[in-house]
Amino acid sequence: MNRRVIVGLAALAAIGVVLAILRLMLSRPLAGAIEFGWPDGVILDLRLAAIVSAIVIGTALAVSGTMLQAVLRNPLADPYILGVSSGAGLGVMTAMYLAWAMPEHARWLTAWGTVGPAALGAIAAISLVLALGRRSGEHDPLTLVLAGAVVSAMCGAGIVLLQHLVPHGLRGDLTVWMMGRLPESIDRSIVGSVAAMAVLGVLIGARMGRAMDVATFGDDEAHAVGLHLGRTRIVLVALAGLLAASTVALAGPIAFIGLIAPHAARLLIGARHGPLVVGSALAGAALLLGADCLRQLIDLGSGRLPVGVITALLGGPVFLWLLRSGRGSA
Amino acid sequence: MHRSIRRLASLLLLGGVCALVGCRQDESSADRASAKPASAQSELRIASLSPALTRTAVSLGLSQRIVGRTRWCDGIPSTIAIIGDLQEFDAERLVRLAPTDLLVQPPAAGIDPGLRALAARHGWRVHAFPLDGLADIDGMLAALPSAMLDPTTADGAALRARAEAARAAIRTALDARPAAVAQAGPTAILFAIEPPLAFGRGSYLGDIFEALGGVNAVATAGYPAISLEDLYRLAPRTIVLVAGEGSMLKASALDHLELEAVKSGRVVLLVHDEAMRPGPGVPALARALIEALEALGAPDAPDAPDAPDAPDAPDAPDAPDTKEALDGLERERPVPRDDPLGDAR
Amino acid sequence: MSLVLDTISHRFGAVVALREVVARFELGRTTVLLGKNGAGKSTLLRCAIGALRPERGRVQVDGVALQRMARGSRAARIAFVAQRPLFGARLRVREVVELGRFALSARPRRVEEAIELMGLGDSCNRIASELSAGFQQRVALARAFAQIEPTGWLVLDEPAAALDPAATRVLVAALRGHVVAGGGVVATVHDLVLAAAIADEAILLREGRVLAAGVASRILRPEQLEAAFDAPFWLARLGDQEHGREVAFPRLQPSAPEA
Repeated sequence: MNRRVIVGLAALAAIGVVLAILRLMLSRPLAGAIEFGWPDGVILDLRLAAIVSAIVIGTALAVSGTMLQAVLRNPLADPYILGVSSGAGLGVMTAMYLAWAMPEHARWLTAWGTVGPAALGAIAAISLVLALGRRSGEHDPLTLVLAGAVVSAMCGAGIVLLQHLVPHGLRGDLTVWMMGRLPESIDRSIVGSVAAMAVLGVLIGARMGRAMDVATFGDDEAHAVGLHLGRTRIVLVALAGLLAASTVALAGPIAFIGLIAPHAARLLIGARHGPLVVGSALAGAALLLGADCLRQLIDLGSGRLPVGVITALLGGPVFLWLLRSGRGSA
Repeated sequence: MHRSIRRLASLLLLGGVCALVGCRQDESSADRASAKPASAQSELRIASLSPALTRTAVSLGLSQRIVGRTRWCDGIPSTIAIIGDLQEFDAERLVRLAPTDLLVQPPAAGIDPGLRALAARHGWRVHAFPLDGLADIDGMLAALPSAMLDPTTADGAALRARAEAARAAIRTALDARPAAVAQAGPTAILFAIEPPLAFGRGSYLGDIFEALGGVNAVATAGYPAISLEDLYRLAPRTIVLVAGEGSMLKASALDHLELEAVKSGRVVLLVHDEAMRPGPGVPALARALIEALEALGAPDAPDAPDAPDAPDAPDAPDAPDTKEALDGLERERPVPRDDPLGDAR
Repeated sequence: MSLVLDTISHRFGAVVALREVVARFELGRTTVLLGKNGAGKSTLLRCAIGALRPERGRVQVDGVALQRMARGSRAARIAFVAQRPLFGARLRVREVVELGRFALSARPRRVEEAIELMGLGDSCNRIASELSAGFQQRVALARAFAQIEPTGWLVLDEPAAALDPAATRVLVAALRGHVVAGGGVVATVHDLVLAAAIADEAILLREGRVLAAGVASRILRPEQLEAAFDAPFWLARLGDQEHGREVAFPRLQPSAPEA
C-alpha cells in the first residue's frame, strides 16, 4: 500500500474516533442547552450502543455502496438501488397488516419488531432482482438497475395497497419506519450479526479489490484480462444486497451514506477498490456518527429528528461538493 | 414575433373566459345549495366519511338516519353502503344515496374541493370538523346539532339537548381529579418505543391526562419522537404504553430497559380504539386511562429503593375520589340505552 | 503456434453473425480483418478471445481448447483492446495498466515498459477516464502489452480508430516490435493505409462468411475489396519510386482524379 492510502485511511479513522468521542460527550436534552461531559451509568450504555450501531450500519452501507458502484459501473449507485429498501418496506407493511388483520396468527411475525419482516422483504427483493437482471443468461449492469427499478415500483405499489386496507392510524407507522433511526437499545444477537456481516463485507471487499477494479472495464475487456465477470457480479451484488438488507432491517432506510462514503473515501485514497472498501467503511461510520451527533444538537421544538432526515437533508449538498472537488483532483 | 404575441394573447383570452365561466357556474350552484338545516329528524339522510363523526351521530341518537359510512365505522349495521373514508370518496355511490347531510373530517389541507363541489351541486349540507384535539371535539358537539336540525323544532331541540349532555359529560369526566392520576407523578405516555413516540403537550391524550390533573413528563408539544436517553433523563415515575387499533405494542416492550418506572413495575398498557384517534368517547377513554393507572397501585415513596410493589395491590379504600367522580357521571346525565358514551366499554 | 477458429458459426437470435468461419492466426504474423459494418468482425474477435462461445465450432490455442484454458494461462497468451475502451472507475493510467497483470504475477518492469512503449510516461498519474479518446486507446493498448507474453496474441478492435497520425506511428512501431519478438497480432481495421502498413495476412469477411483469406498483398487489391465492400476501390502508389508501394484505396469521389 502506498503512502497516500495509509495517510488517507489514518485520517478517516482519526475523524471517526473524534466523532465517536463527540457523540459520547456531547448532548442536548429536550428543550435544554448543549451539554458536554462524560456520561455514566445507563446514559453511557445508551450512547455506546448508539455509537456501535452507527459504526456497524455506516460500515455496512458504505461497503455495499462501494461494491455496487463498482459492479454496476455507476457512481450514483447506492445500496438501495436494487430494491432493498422497498422490499423491506413491503415486508414491514405486510407484517403490520397481518398483525392487525389476523393478530392471533401473526404473533411470531412481530417477535422482533420490524427486524424480521424487513430482512425477509429485502432479501426477497434482491433475489428477485438477481433473477430478473440477466441478459442472454449473464448479469449485466443496466439490466440489473432496470430490474431494481421494476421491483422497487412493484413493492411500492404493494405498500400502498396494504396501506389502503388498514385503518388510518396504522398508515403512519410505516412512515416513521421509513425515516430510519439508529437503535439505542440493541439486541446483541441482531447487532452482532450485522456487525459480523459488515466485517465480512470489508474483508471480502478488500480481497476482491482488484476484481472490482477490473469489473469497471468493458465486459469483453474484463474477460480478456482474466476476470470471471459473471461470477464476480453475482457475488458482489449478493453480498452488497445482504449488507444493505441487514442495515434496513436494523435501522430502516438511511439515505446517502452508502452513496457518499465511497466518493469521500475516493478523494482521500484514490479509486483502487481494495483500499477503497476499507476507506469507505471508515468514511461511512464517520458520516453516520457525524449525522447522529448533529441529531443530538438540533432541537426544533418538536422532539428528535430521525437520523435519516439529517443524512437526506445534508446528503445532497455534501454530495454535490464532493463531486466538484473530485473533478478538480489530478 | 407578432405571431407569438398574438398566440399568447389568445391563450390569455381563452383562459380568462374559462375562469369567468367557471366562476359563474360556482356562484349559481351556491345559489342552488340549501344551507338551511332540516326541521324533522326523519328528513335527515346522513352520509359519514369519518368514523369518529359516525360514532358521534350514533351517540346522539341518529343511527337510524345514517345511509352511508366508511369501512371503519362501527355501531351501525354493516349493510349500510360504504361511500369512502377519511381520504377518498365514491362520488357515484354518494349521489345515488341522495344524502342530505355529509359528515367530513377534513385533513389539514382542507376539505377536498371535488367533494365540496359535488355537495354544492346536489344541495347537501356539509359538516366539516377537523378532530385533532379536545377543543375540536367540544366545538363539534356544540356546532353540529344546529347545523343539521333547526333548534326551534322539537327534533332539533332534542338533538341539541343530547349534544349538550355529551359535552357536559366530557367536562365532568375531565373535571375529576382521581388519586391514581395525581399519584402517578410525572408520566410518560408513549405510543411507540422504537423510537419512543410520546403524547406531548397539546396532544389529544396529553390534554386529557393534564385535564385529569396529571403531569406529563414530556413537555414538548405535539407527538414528538424522543430518544431513549431523553426518556431516561426525564425519569418518569410512571409510563403508559398506548395501543390503538392494530398496534403491535406489548406491555413487556420496555422490560429490557433500566428505567425507574420499569424497575418499580409502573408500566401499564392502555388498549383503546380511540386512544390514537380523537372521537366523542372522551369519558370512556378517560375512564380507561384512570383504571389503567389504578391498576398500578400507589407508587413507592421515591427514596425507598427496590421495594417490590405488586402492581395490582387491592386499592379499594384508596380511590374514593375516582369512584365518586364516576358515580357522579352516571347521576348527572340521563343515559340513553344505545349510547356508547355512557357504557364502560 | 497458432490461434485457430475452426468452423465457427454463431447467431444472435434470428441474425446470423458468423457462418462456418475458418481462421488461423499465426505467431510472428499480423493478420487484419476487414469487412463491411455488420460483417461479423467484432463477433469473430470476441470468439477469438473466448468472451463469446460460438454455437458451433471450436477455438483452439496450439491445439488446446480456449474454453478449457485456465484464466491465467489464457490471459498470458491473449490480450484484447476494445474499439472504445471503457474506464468505469476513476483509476489512474498506471493503475489501469497494472491491472493487465490481474490474473498473472506482478511484473512492475513490464508495466513500466508498456507505459513507455505507448508514450504515456507523462500521463501515467492522470485519471484514465478523463483523457481523450485517443489517449484512452493508448492506455488500453499499454494494458494489453503489460498483460501479454512476448509470444502471445494481441487481439485489437479498430486499434487506431481514435489515434492521430503521430500516435498511429507509435502504435505501428509497437505492433511491429511485438511481431518481430515472436508475438502475433489480430486486428480489425477500416483504414487501408494502416492495413497496408502492418498486415502480413488479411481476411475479408462478408455477411458472416470468409470471402477471402491469405497473404495481405494478394487480398488487399481492388477486385477483392470491391467484392467485400460493394464500393469502388482504386490502386494508388504511396511514397516514392524506391520505397513506396501500391495500396488499395476506397474511391470516395465520384470521378477518378488524373493519374
